[in-house]
Amino acid sequence: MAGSGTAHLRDRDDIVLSVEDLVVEFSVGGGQKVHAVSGVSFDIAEGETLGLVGESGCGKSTTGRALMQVPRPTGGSVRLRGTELTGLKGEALRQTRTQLQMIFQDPISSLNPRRKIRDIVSEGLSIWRRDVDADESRQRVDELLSAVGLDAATAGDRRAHQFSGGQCQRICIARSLVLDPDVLICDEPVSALDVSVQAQILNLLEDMKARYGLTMLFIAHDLAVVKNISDRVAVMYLGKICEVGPADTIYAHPSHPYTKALLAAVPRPDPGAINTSVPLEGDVPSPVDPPSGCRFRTRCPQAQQRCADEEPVVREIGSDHYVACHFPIDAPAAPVLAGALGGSEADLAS
Amino acid sequence: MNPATSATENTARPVAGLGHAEPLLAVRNLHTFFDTPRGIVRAVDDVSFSVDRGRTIGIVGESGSGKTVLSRSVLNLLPKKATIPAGGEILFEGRDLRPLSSKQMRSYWGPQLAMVFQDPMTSLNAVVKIGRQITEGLREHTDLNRRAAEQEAVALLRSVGIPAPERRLGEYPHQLSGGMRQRVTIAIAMACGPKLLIADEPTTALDVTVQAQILDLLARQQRERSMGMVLVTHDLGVVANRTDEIAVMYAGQFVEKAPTPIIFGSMRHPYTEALMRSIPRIENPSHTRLDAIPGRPPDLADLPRGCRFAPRCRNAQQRCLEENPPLFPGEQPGHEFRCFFPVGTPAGDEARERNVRDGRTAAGIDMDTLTKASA
Repeated sequence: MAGSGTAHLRDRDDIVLSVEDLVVEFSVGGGQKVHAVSGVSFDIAEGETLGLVGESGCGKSTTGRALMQVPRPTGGSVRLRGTELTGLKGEALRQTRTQLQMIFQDPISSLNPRRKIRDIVSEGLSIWRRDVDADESRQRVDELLSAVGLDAATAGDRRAHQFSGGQCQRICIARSLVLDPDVLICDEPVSALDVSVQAQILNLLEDMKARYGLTMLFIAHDLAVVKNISDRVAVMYLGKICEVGPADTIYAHPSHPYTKALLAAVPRPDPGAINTSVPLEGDVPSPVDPPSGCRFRTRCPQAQQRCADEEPVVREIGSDHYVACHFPIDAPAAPVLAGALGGSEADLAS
Repeated sequence: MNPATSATENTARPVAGLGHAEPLLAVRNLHTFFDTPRGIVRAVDDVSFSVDRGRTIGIVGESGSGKTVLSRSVLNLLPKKATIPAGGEILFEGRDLRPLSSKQMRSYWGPQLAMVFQDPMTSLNAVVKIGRQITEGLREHTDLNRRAAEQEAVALLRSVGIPAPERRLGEYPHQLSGGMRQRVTIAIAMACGPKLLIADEPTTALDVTVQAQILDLLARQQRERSMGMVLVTHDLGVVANRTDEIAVMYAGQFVEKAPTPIIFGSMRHPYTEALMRSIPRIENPSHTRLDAIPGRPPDLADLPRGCRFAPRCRNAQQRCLEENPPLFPGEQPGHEFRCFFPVGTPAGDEARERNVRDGRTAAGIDMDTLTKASA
């Protein structure tokens, strides 16, 4: 697995964001390059949430940032409602970026500590919507702050250090929505938060998505969080896509050996769940010198010679379910379920 | 790890027929306070627990609940000036560690008690080779000479699953991946064969596939050496299958402590229940609405008068706002909880029904926001 290909791109009218063959490389001197993202393709339809999941260093954050064109991708195409972003420059790019907003992992450090919350949230308006007068802008900010669950009257005049991590993340969400973006890119938005607060923010993102008609790219390493919020999920490994499909399908019937291993490794908050699977051996190889063929083969329990010689290409394995693997696990017949357990109750790990 | 045999865990009484009369570690009514400009921060407030040889206790809490201060208190690793010694005992094999100076503690750190921290990059010395970081403790606490200590270090690195250990001795921490670094800190902790290991969020900084490897490694080392272990984490998934007993910590106190299956199967404290329900479960369909806990934990320098969880609790009644509940014993041995209206009891059910009927809890929280809660 972990291959290239575009078979999973959909030919539909309601595709908002379409990424094709995205490549991001960083030079590290000595003629060597970090192959952070190597030929990633995906698309997100109107109102859809795509979860991008993978371990640290797999290139998921770099992918998110490359969509914003910071840094510019080395190759490939990023189209937002048909507009190609990779070629845009200067004012045109700035204008287009207002449609593409981002929230980050550490909410406290992504807010300017010296500015009032109201000014942080309204900055987009004061730059882009000169026609909006002060009253209207104030109203808009108040509306957003209360939409994200903060008391606008008291919160607006405070600064970031007076808020907890969860509240700062709410402020970041309000800021990202002030210009009515089409697409919200969330890069690990809840991984710095406690579980009780994490649930609040996940629920809030669902509410905001419904209320403001957002399309989301949700990047995270926590598989349970990604499943909770996503319609479709793409699994990444070492700069490549392994598997794409509807969230429930992928989690119930992982086709890629990596997806299966990743799911098996998730610790279950249930003392009865006995994990009999063998954890993956070793570490992720260096992206400076990735393995030939399938990039997962060095850790794959079922790797063959073919996996070293030939890179697998994404192909359809079930309805809207795509995998890049020469030897995928047969989707519905996968003998991963213990006995009579069926459907969502089954422990995928055993 | 069989959780069914935990009947003697919570009692300090000598048990006839057992080789060791006292538990390996017994913490009694421990208080750790900090004097800050904002007032006295009650980071650990009346906590008691014990750990036997070969057993594991999980301490679960959110950030700021005092779980890290608790584990550092046990090791006597707190800055002395900042703490107000407010009573309590930490008995390690019957001897109170609290009055010991750092100098006296040095004979405990390593051969008796060891700790694994969350972030391996900051707990390793970046400018010292790995080999020396492992042999340092060995040279201090054993009579091994340099050569023998190095051989022991190689054996330790091999036992924690590091490939080519001879080569690693001469490398620096930055040359290793995060998972490998955490293996090194475990090797350092194991070097002098400690009787008790305290692991504070040992896998939080790691990826899930590596997390499983490290947790398995800790469990294996513990089994082989019959160590006692304190596993501190915020992740209920990490402790579910790897502990004999779990204590849930909230605002400096244990709100519930019980053998692991009871915590998951018949918890009594509303906070434990709420915590379980707020976790996204991988077996639930996507877009399952989560039961978030509204609000946030109290300020440890300005605690509410009554129950510390009352402002966020579904069961909260007037009494909860006035009186902090003591630890009540549960029906099962080893189960304790701090709640007047416990989950799954007639008193608790009645309290919740009353709050649902009134539409709000005694603390004034709207029951609607408690159930759908994004606010």
